[in-house]
Amino acid sequence: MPKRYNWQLGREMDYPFEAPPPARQVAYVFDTNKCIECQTCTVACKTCWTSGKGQEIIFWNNVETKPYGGYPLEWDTRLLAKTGPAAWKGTTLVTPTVFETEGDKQPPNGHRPAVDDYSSPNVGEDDITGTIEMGAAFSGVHPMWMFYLARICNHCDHPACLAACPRQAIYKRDEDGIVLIDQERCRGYQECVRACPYKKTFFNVISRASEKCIGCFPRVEQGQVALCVESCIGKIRLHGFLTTRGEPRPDNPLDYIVKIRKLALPLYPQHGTGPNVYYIPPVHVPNGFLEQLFGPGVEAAKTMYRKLADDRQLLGALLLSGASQRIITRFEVKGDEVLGWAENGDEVARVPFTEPVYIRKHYDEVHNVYRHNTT
Amino acid sequence: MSTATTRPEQGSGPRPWALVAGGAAAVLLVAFALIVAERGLDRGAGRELAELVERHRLQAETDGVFFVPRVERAAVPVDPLDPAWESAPSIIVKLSRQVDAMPILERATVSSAELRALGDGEWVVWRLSWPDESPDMNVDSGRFCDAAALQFPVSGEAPHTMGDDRNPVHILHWKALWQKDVDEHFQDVQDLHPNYWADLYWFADGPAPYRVPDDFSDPRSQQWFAAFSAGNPVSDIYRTRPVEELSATGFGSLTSHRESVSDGRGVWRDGSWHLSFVRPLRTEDPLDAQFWRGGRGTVGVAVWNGGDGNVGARKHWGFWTAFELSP
Ligand code: SF4
Ligand code: SF4
Ligand code: SF4
Repeated sequence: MPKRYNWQLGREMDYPFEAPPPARQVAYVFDTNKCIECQTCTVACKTCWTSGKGQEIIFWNNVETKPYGGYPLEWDTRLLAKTGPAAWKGTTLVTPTVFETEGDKQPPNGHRPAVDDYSSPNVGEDDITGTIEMGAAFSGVHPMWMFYLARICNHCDHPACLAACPRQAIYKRDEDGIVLIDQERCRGYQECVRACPYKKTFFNVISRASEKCIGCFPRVEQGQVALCVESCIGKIRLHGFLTTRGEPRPDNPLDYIVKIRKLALPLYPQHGTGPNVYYIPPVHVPNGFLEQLFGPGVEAAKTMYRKLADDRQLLGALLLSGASQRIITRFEVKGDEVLGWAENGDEVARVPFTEPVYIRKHYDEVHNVYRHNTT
Repeated sequence: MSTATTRPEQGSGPRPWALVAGGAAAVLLVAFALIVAERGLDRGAGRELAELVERHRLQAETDGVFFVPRVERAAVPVDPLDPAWESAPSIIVKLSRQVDAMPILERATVSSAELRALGDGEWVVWRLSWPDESPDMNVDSGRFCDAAALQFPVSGEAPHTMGDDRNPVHILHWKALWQKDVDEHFQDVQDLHPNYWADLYWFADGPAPYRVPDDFSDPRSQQWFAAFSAGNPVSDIYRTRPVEELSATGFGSLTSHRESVSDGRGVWRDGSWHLSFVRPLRTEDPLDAQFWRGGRGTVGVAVWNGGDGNVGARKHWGFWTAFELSP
């Protein structure tokens, strides 16, 4: 099997195909510390792309509560039960990826969810890790935790879905790295469903073919961010491109946050697909759990995040989340603002570090009403 | 493009004529009589044809080639359960796991299939039977249906592994799901999950829960049928036949024919599937394997046990079986 360098693993790994990296790679930063699990992203995606018959239990975007939630049910722990836990030596993965255990006559290591596994997308919602003593919530910090994990297709560098398809009906676009299933060629074998470690390809019973998040490519082609990004209430999402051919650029917000500062980390990098949704780990969750999810960079990322207030360049890049419908490819911190520019040079975002505060009088003389603080 | 059945040799020398008793021969004799009657041939011509047919049959037998007799059109059974099949010649095709290409079939559940065939000089009907304890006729996430296929080389040298770059194969593919679509109605969400409910499907018109295809005739309502809109043949919501024609030039190259003249029917009865594949000997389509009266060819068989997760390359298949069509 050909070898490919996987920068997230610090080593080469087996992958069934050779291909140069795309001209640039679509990528996202999701700040788990800010997600409120409002599911606006889920609804935005579903209303636009998956509201047809046959797509009732298909959510290209979903938001689940960790540690117990998962859509489809136990999507991640069932694979971990097969692969065993990841082990790293420094920043190099020593355990095998999903491409390195099955030989060349079987698709990557994976598992097939049953149909019922899709029918409770919100299972485990808001559940914390254990019960707490009566009254503990009022007596300070208690050790139980949970957090929200928003998930879409990772438009992976080395997609397992693509590697598993015996018809080569899945392709990675050269212009932006978006991974698509050719809806004309797919014959519904569901090999991609079995192989994707993130379970982000789905079988549609009306199409009798598989489908997946299309990365909102018609919008990306017009320089617009994905619907799930634009609609995000918590402004946790930043959509852009990683540099693939050449050094990361410090003025590219995605390069800066992901590649240069390593504040945001890939989800389950040990599977080897090179996922391109990068998560800022939740600072209140123990590292033991997080390191299986996000790899060895967790503690450094948490430390950086806690010091964000003094890190204006990094904070500036993050302030671009939810600041524009246009994809920002260049940014600059200027005085008390961060500016973002679209590909064509248009200034599309100007965000102050400190939001202006207006204090209004308790009594409104114009309308003859009293204002109440309801928050 | 070259041809699947080799043309019969012209003017091959006379061979001794012999009457052979037995089921197959009985079918043949009836057949000759019918052909003679149908064509109004005089006794002499009828006898000559009968002699020619028998010569071919004997030679095929000597060569170990499966001989496909010719009967009158009305006597060709299209129903796979027609008792007439019992007296048609049969051959047992050994099947094994597909282990040449990713993904391989890990476990075999079918070891052989029985193939029978009859023709009328213009059409040939293949009857395929194999044991399967339970019929799997629908698909869902992680759920697959039973299926079978016959393949014919479009040129003589095609490997049984679905042909290669220079030697395409022509495939007739039947799926239990498509049979159910045709026999009952397009298998919809509620056929799998009766209680599924959605308040709204954009632009669908009809009573909830909205049936496909009837309530989705507005083209705007079909926007979410992405694979159907892209023309994917597996996503046809207006399917009328359970058999699809395809071409292949090796693994992963399967391509549906836009034009298809093949048909068929599958029936599960008493622990076995029985299928008929019906197709004309000759077509205008250069992608099709062509057959001649008195010509030889090869056929390959593949069987999928949906209940055991068989799908795509995860299948049982056999090597080529040589056959000869009656002159
Ligand atoms: S819209 Fe944003 S905040 Fe709301 S659930 Fe989705 S990712 Fe979280
Ligand atoms: S997340 Fe899954 S579906 Fe998306 S590119 Fe990666 S392997 Fe494929
Ligand atoms: S990128 Fe677009 S298609 Fe993919 S999950 Fe987000 S909204 Fe849906």
